[in-house]
Amino acid sequence: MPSVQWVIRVSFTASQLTIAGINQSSSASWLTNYASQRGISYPFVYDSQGKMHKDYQVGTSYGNAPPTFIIIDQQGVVRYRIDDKFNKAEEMRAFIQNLLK
Amino acid sequence: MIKTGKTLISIALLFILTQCGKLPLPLPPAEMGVVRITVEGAAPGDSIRVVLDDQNGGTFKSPVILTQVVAGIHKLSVFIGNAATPPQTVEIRRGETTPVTFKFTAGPYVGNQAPLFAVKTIKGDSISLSKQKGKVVLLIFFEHT
Repeated sequence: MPSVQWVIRVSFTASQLTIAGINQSSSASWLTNYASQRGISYPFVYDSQGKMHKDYQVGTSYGNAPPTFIIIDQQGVVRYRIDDKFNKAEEMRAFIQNLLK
Repeated sequence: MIKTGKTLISIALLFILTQCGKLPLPLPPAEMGVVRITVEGAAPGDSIRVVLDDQNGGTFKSPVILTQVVAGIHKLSVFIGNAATPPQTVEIRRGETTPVTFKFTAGPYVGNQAPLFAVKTIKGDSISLSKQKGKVVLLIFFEHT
């Protein structure tokens, strides 16, 4: 997740891109520490009831495993989705850049 | 000659009155039209919320028939749960039924209209997908590893 901060967050303004990190299994205090220790400035959402995980069909019960990255375009359409623990930050940065053209 | 003239006038009057009798009954207020909304992909009994010109037009069971819509050009979109279809611009003609079909492809995968969400961040700020129009949104679902 720090790569998202340093490759993606710093490349776009707040009026171009909204980022949200969504976590179900930890706790709000763990997330707060995680963000501050790694200098992450984009917001975290503690999805304690799992509603977003369910709506976005994220998790092993849906045949995929976090981290799951989803990019939604300016019209609210899903344009990119990947379940990948490997670093795709540069690929995503280029994808977002292209959407904003 | 006078008698023939009177007969002719009588026939003319009768003709006019008959024609008047054939006139159709007055139409309902002419500025209104009817919209029949079909939502492809909606399950029977799904509650469909209609948004007309950015105003809540009410919630209905499929199929949706809106009567008494003011004729003219309108922006129309539908929601099922928290998922929206892209809006359509529709011309509603007075005194007619205008059919409109929405294709519902909401879902969390590429090409789908993303499920709407409105959540609070751990700092207490609100994030709502419906307020991000014009911006790109990156969601990262992650677990503590």
